[in-house]
Amino acid sequence: MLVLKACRGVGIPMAQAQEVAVALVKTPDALEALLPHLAQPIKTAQFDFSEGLTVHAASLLRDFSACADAAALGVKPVRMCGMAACDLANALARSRGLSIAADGADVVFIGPEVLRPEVSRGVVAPEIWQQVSSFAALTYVPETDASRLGGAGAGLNDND
Amino acid sequence: MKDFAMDQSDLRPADEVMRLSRMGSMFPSRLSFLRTLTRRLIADGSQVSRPHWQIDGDGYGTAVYTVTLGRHRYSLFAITQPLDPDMRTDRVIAEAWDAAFVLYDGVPDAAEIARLSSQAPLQEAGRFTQKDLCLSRANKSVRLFEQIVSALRAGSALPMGMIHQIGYLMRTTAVYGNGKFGIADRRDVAQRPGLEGPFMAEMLTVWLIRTFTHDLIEHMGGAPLPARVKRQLGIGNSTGLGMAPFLVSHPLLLHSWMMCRETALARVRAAQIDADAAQRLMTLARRAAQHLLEWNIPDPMHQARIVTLRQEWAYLTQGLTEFGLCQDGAADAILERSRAGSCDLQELTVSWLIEPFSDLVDGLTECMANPFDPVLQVQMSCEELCALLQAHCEFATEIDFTDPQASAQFWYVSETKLEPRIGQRQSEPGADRESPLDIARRIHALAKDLSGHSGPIWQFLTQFPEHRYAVQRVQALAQNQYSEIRDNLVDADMAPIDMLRCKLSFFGASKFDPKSQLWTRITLAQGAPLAADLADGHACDDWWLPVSAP
Repeated sequence: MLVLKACRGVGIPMAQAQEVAVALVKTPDALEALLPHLAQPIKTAQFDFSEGLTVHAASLLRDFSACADAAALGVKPVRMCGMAACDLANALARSRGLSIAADGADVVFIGPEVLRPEVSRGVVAPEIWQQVSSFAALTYVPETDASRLGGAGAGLNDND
Repeated sequence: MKDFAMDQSDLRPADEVMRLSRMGSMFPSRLSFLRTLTRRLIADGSQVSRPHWQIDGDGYGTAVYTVTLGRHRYSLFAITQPLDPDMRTDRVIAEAWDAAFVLYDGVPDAAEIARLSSQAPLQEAGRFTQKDLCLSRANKSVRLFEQIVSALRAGSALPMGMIHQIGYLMRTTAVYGNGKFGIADRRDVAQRPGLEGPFMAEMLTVWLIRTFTHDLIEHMGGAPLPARVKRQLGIGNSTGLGMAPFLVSHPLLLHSWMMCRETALARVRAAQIDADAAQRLMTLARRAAQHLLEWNIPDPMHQARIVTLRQEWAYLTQGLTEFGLCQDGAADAILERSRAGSCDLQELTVSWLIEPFSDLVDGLTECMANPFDPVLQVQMSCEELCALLQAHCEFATEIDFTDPQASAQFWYVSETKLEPRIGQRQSEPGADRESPLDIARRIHALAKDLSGHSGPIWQFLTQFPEHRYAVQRVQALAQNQYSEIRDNLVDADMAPIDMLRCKLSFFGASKFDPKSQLWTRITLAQGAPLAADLADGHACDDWWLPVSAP
């Protein structure tokens, strides 16, 4: 849930944020690799469909889903230009049942993933968790007098 | 579910069922999770023991209750502490409570009891492990608690009027499960017999807390309460906005719950009612009338609804006979007659009609868990998606979102309390951080942008990545008709209390006592079997709509 909020906090659309969160539940060790992607500004990606799918200026968090859609449908090649094959990219691919590889400075999709056992819980360093939390906090709304009075509900006193 | 086909009528259409006004009129039924739990406890021959009890004369200390369910042992750890009355609040963001609880996987030893004693009172701020399945806290119903203790100590008459009216000794303000605050994830236990169904661990927690409250008051009063009085004492709960987003963020689970309920109704409508079931329906009709009579709440608008419902129920059930109920199509005819009344009447009728038919209904509880989320069907074309929007999404596409009233509210998470809240878009800041509960608005925007596009939907989504969520939900809706609330959740007139009541009815809540459009008090497990009933073999699952004199 925190990962989902962190992605949404930096402007990643809801469905893509969910996919990142699901991937990191399955591969919690990749959480550290999420941080640089949360920190980088999201540019407008350019999708070239002339030969397979080539994406320039892609955001891994926002645009991986579309690339994985294409790869899942058998589109070849699917290439994310200027994208490192980091742990997060691998986790996202694994979550979709796909494999990726580095090809120079790009990431290319190379086929279906060999199934691996899921991890139930990972150990996350507190400082990483703290950074993810700070991105998640970008979805929180500061309290105001109006929200205190009208937004929450529930009684202040329960002595009855 | 049993693997044979049963006759059934048509399901009620989602455009009728999934409206907030109807969802906000739902009643508990034999499909409610607490009912499922108690049936399971009875079927398993579960026994409750109390291996640890260190409570002083003022009612402060620790206790452990252990129950076996599906060959696994679970324990409720309870701790009570003195609480300054100024600290006693219904709000989920309180920092201290009269009692705190943990549902523990197994039986805690002394070291674990010491750990739980230090951490449970901290609730959200505590540190928990995978042995901890649920976390909860509760405050006393102060007036009732004090009066019963006084009566027990003095040997005088119990305040039966208050007992019936209030219906519980303690009121929980949260029951956390599924990995919150470091406790075990649901998937760790979701395959265990008895815990497969939705919220089963939470329901077990609630039922055991109720047992603890009974023991606590007898301990403090120095005398036993009669079993019939204890059955009348359930467990209260205060529920606010925190519960509402769940129905939106779990669309396929919502579909499963509603589908089971509607399937149960469809089966009963097609069934031939026999003499036993007819007799049972007559008894339950009288019980429902009594329940409505005893359900009195301070809020004038909701009390007026109850008063209307009493009259409607009397009219609907007037002249019913066992002979008449045994005629062909009787259930269907009654349901049809109820449609002349309010949604409250119609939904009470639904719960009533399915109550006697355990053979037709109870197997459906096995279909109420649904761990899946919508996923994109990547092979779909824009034209196919347009067709789905036209066929299933009129509730969203026909809204005029240029009218500010259609998006007057927005959902958000409070920075200070980390809890869902609702704000007014025109007058409060924060809409730029809106939570994605505005499903109708998102579907509307998708339909607008999709117009004129063709080709594969995945290519459309490269241009409009923000619509992926809406596309997934529309695709899911086409195959799961009850997966979406078919109303605008950011409309000026949207009342979150309707979402709360729907979910709480599935828990098994009764005597809804709304304090505003944002939060409600409820009663859980009032009338449910006691631990002692399980022990002596007298437990039965006959507690739909609690009444003072069953």
